[in-house]
Amino acid sequence: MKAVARALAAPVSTAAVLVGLHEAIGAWLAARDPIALGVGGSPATALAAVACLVALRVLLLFVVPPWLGVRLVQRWLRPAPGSPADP
Amino acid sequence: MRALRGSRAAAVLARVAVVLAVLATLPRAVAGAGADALFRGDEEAQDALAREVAGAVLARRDPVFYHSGSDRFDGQSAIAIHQMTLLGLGQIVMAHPDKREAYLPAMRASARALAMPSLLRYADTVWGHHGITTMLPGEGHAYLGYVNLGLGALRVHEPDMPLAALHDRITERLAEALFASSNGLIETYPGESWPPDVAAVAGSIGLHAAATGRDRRGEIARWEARFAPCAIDAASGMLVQRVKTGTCTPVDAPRGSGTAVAAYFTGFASRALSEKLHHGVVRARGSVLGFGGIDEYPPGHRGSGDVNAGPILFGMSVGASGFGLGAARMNGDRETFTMLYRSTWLLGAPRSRWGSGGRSFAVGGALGNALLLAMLSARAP
Repeated sequence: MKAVARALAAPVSTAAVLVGLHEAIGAWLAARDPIALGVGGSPATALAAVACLVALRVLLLFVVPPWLGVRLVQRWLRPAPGSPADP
Repeated sequence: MRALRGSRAAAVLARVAVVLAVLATLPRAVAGAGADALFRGDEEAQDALAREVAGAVLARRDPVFYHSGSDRFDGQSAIAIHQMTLLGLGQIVMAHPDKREAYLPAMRASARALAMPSLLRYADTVWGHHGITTMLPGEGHAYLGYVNLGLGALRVHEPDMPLAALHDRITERLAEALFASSNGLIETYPGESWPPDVAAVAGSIGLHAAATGRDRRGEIARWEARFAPCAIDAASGMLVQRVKTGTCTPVDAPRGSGTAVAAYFTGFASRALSEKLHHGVVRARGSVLGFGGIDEYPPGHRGSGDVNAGPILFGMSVGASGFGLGAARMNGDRETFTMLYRSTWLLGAPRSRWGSGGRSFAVGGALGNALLLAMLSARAP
């Protein structure tokens, strides 16, 4: 179990940071209305916030899960200590 | 498989297989998780966004949501927000009559806002008057289709609403102009003829008929026979966005956003025309890994879109894809609805409001959330 947890530590901690950022930007945008920001003189801020939020969602949906899967498979494929394949 | 352990090639192969398997299954499952409930019309799923949109309308004193300095944008966006709020809440009350008392106050507030002259400042400037007070013979005022659709959405549930006389008057004026038109089109503003606006006019006449029990099927069928060949591009099946006034000569390309919103609007007047336009939308679909959108321009046409199309990514517009949700639900197309919903979920960032049971799209703002409410609950009357 400890070995699996070690293998997944990097993607899980990265995902936690991404989720935190996602929640913060999402709450900020939802409270302001990006269209109102855009027409109210801050189009660059609105665009940047939307782009960041969407980028975070893409990372969380399309990058983190395959990364977790690959780490699990790597762990599973690693030769057992002391086996003939263990260098 | 155990025999393969330690083999470098097998390890690479296994990693690639895992990446492909995860990408092919997980994102579409996560993003599409709420699509079925919305397509079926489950009360809880529809109610979450409806609460937020109704709350936003009731919390405002100023019926104009955005102040950009452009009367045209500010007025049109406010009309769209109130119209879509009325249509969306009306559709939900139609599906779940127990929601009537909860949503009628917001619907009444939006209907009152739609009747305010301050929303029609641009029309007032270019026509010299706005159509709510005056429509002279020969004038189009097709922007009133949006106002009239909103009023119709309330009239269906409240036949004796205070604005019933205004609803009757606008409908009669629009019907008079539309049914007398030789090509099935009327102007929106002087020198500007937009078929998607005309689709809203026709839809509003159909919704008025449904609300009042008047039979207009014959008039609508004859109008449709003139409108479709004039405004629908035969090659793509898409609706031309703009034509030269008094003719069928396009001055803009066939467009996904106009086609999709017209497929939704005409569903209130003619199921056949809505279905025909929806076919044009379906032909413009594109998808990867179960996520997709609707092309703004068909093959052979190019452009940079406009405020109706919204942002365009990989040739697909936010407007066409958002309105495509409504066209798909109205026409019973679960596959297109689910595909478009996944993209809406990814790009719109839905989030729940703690403690309220409400849920809205962080990226949508007042306009996007009202539009999505109407599209995600779309149904023929």
